[in-house]
Amino acid sequence: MKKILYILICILCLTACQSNEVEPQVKTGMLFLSLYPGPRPSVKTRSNQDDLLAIRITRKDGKNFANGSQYLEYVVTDATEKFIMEEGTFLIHAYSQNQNTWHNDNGGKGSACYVGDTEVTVAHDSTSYCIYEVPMTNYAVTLTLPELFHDLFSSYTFTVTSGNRTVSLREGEKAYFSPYEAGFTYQLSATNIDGDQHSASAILYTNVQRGKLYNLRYNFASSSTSGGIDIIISDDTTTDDTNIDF
Amino acid sequence: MIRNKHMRRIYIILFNLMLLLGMTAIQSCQNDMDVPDVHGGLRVQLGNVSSSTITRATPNECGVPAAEQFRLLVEDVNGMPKYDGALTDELIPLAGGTYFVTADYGENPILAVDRPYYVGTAQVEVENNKVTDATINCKVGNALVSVVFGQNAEERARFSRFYSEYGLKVKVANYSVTLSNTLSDVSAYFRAGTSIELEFTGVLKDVGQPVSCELDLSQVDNFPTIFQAADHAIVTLTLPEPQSAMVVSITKVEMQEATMDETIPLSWLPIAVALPEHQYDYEGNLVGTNITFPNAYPGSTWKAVVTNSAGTVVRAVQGTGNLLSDYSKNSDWPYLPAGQYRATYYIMEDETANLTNTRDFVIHNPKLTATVDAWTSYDKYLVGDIAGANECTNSTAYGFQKHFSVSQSLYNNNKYRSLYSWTATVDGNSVPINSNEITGLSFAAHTLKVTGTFDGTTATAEKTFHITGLPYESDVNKFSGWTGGSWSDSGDSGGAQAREPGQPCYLFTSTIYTPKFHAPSNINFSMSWNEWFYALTMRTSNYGWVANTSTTPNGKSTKPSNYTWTTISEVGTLKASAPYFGMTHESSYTWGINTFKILYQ
Repeated sequence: MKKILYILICILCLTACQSNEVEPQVKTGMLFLSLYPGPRPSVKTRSNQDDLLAIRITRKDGKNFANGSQYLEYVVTDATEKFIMEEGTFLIHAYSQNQNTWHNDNGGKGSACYVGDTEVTVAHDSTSYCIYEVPMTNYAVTLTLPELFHDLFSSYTFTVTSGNRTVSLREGEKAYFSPYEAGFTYQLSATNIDGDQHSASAILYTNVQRGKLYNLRYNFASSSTSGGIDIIISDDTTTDDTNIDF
Repeated sequence: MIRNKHMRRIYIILFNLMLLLGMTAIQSCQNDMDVPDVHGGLRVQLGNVSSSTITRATPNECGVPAAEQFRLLVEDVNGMPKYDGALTDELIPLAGGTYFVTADYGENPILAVDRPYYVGTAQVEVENNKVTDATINCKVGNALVSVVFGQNAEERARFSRFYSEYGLKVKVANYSVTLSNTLSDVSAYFRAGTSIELEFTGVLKDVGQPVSCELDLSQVDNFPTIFQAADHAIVTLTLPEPQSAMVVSITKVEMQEATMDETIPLSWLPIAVALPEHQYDYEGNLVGTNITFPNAYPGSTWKAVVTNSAGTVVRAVQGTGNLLSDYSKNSDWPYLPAGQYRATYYIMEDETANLTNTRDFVIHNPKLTATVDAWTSYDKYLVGDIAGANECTNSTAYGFQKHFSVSQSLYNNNKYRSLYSWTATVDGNSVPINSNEITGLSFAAHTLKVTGTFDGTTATAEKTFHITGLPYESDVNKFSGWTGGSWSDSGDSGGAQAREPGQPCYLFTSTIYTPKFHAPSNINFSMSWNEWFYALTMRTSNYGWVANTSTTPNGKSTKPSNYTWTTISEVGTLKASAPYFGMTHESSYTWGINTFKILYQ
């Protein structure tokens, strides 16, 4: 007769349970900030760190956090960070770190700037989810030239002016402007391979919206108005009337 | 606790009942002994049948075995069975000698839910022409583990708050059972002398995500490495008190592109230039090359003649203003291959052409795309065409199609044919470009890649397709890819007696494994095979699925008879995580199967 009673108390740390499974659905009493950098601006002359978003978390009721802090502030990185959280409603202010400098970035061409606010309520003993896309505060302009352009033109300048900023762009580059200025003007000038200089009139575009990329795409004038006849070329020497005779 | 006490009480009552049965048997024996017996023999009675464990499932759900449910085995010292059958109070005729008597109830499974096994043994000496009485005391012969989720009501509520389902998975070697929260008061029974592993499994309520966690038993004091008979481990799992939490995902809104078209006037172009432009039809196929000649000589009738680098005239156009040489009007040179060209310009005065200028220009490579397609049985399965899927060959990709964005009129044109080529590979190995089917593929994901080249422009396209291995039918003459046994084309003719000679089959002595199939996601299947087995003592034998392979919910449901070919069918799910099957028999020495099939279901 053997009677052995084993009492095994296992405190399940669910973080371990699901470390390879899924990150945010964890009930460990931790705050999981699962933050992703999202699409990066395509012009990057500054360090990666400057491209990252930051968030500032404050209590909506205006009170300080339990630890006395007025706010919590983090730089959003690829890594998942864990924080103890208290219950309540929180304001989340997300922003890029170039709020005051974006127009000077990239040699004056500027960079994308992001700001946005959202809030999340965290109830007692539960996990709340806050998925938020931060909008751009400015817009961008870029230039696309036709394929044969560089065969026919030896040089060109393309300028974009908004407010008191004038930016010169090469093909494919982007310049960033504030939507609070009265739109932008753009102008193309070019010198062809014969040395002839041409310049188009400056054109004003006013209906700008933040978050847009305005692509100025140039093409040669349509050949649909062309006249003339194709003279049939043939290798067939038996038909005189299709040969070219100069 | 109240429930446990209650159960214990029930258990005691039934325990007494068993004693009463035993006493009745003894009395019966004594009566029989009054009658002289010419033959010696053995009378067996069941003594104490005791449960030494607090089995929560026994007796309420398992039921307590009655004496007549016990099996009796009497063997001589050479191990030869002299009696093998139900427990009887009748005389078992035996010659004088030493005998080993075993009474048991249940099958002592490797691992099962609520399957207590009772066993008792005795060694008896029988004298010639005398009746010998033997009393066998039986007790629980296997070990068990139970689980308690939470130490109190609050903790129990916490489990159901976070998990839609959860349980404790008990593993013995390759077998496992799960003590689910939906099955209250059940225990996992396993053989004495084995060790176990435990794993918590659950499905997160919010997202339906399965999670699991191996329990580190080495950290638990006195937890038995090897369980003895009647050992009972009660595992209490608790969750720590959760705190408020939030998950914040912050991303940037992507910019939306707005295209604003602008025009460069033809007047900006150099005098006497040619603007070549490859032309594509509405499907994007390359069909030819146009050349625009901006008006070089306003007010005049003028002519432009284009020659290639070999000096061959390929285009000529005459008129006033801007001129266009249209590919569709040049049947001889509709397409102008990439390279250097020269345009020569003339001003026409009546029929006289006065040379005025030449301009060299470049025609660039065309822009081309390629596409490729093929499908397998798995694609049929995914769209619900199960019958179509099961008509496929399991190692073939069908419907190999490719497209390169060059119009047929160009690549059929002798002038351009040499500019055109195709290749196709599967996982880097060349395959015929013009075949509709690709055969002989292994059970895996494969990458079909086509590469088309025209006039120096190369376009590629890739298609990944899945050869799952289904529908599968084992080879008639051998089981290639199987492990755990060997092929015999004459059945098992070895051992003590021939069994099914001439029946080709795959023979096993322990665990077999099918070939590994390829399951990009879980696949529903139906499975069938013929099998027989041979065991020394058992009349039937359950087959069982090996843990960590794909299993079926109906597993172990059939009991083929000893020595007899039996057809077995199962349905289940081929698991992406373990796309193969392992099977074993509980008690057989030799096991053979043939005609093994797996179909999409």
